[in-house]
Amino acid sequence: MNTRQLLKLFLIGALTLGAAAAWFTRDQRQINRTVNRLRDLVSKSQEEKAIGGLIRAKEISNCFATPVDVCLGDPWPDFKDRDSLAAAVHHGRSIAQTIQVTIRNRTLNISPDHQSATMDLAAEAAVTLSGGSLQDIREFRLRWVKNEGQWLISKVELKETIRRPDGLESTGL
Amino acid sequence: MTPKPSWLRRIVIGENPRRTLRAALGIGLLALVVFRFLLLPVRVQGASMEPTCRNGSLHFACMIAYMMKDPKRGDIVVISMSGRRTMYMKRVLGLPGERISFEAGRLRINGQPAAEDYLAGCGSWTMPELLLQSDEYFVAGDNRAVEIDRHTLGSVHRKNILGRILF
Repeated sequence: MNTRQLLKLFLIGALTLGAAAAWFTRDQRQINRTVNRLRDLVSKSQEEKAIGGLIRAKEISNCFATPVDVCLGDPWPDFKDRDSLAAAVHHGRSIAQTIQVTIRNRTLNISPDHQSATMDLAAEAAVTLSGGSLQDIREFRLRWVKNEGQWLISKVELKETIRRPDGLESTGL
Repeated sequence: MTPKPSWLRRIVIGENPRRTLRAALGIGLLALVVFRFLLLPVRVQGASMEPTCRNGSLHFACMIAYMMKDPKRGDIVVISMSGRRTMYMKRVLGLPGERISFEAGRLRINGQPAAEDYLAGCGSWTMPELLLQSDEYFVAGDNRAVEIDRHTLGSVHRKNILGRILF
């Protein structure tokens, strides 16, 4: 076997490995892309127009499955359908002047049959309002389902590393 | 006879490049081990721990402090969230099995007032009594000027307490 043949073999091997890696991590990449998209959609710049806010709220709700179960913690109510979630997101975003969302500490577990997944993450939000600014960080567990090849969020649970005593209200974001 | 390396080269990579490379790799590896597993740099974000830890200040957490022993009251600890990139920094106020409450800003442990000499002011927090389970600690920030409903405080499991702030 000469050098040219060896090089060819190496290239074919590398391409096969690359394709296999891409194939086996496709679900992970799609879920991460959706999370990044959600982060960008929830974030808001000062230049955003009202119609843009409506479109974004609709796009945000499209990342969720039907039915859905979303618990974001105080002061938000629980959401059981995409329409009420979209309405609340639109309302919340319209109050804020700017929103900057950062996602950290992602941990993803995909089920062996590649039809469901669980992701733990910490979401940090910095919000400017007309009367000042707010900053909050919360942990969530996202449950995902694969629907016609698309990964959608079916459940959002609030994880509390620091468990607030019962009866103690929170007025965070 | 080989020419002597220039002064600039001697300063940057030394007279023996191979030895310099080995030393650089050794230092890099040591720094990686120290700052990832032993002494974790922590940048404070937020005013929850003021005045002890100012917003934006840099601190170091000893990640092996609780390998052999348990957290003590008064320790400033780092608490893991889903991972280690973002963590809580809080002070341990209550130990497992204790009853913790706040009355008009004063911390009470098992019904008795507790001294907190690290505080700038005691504020006006009021919280009903909470009984900690056998693996739970009560943590809160030092900034009592923040209203209790806007402050993250409560019980945390032992396994989430990763390390102690050294300085």
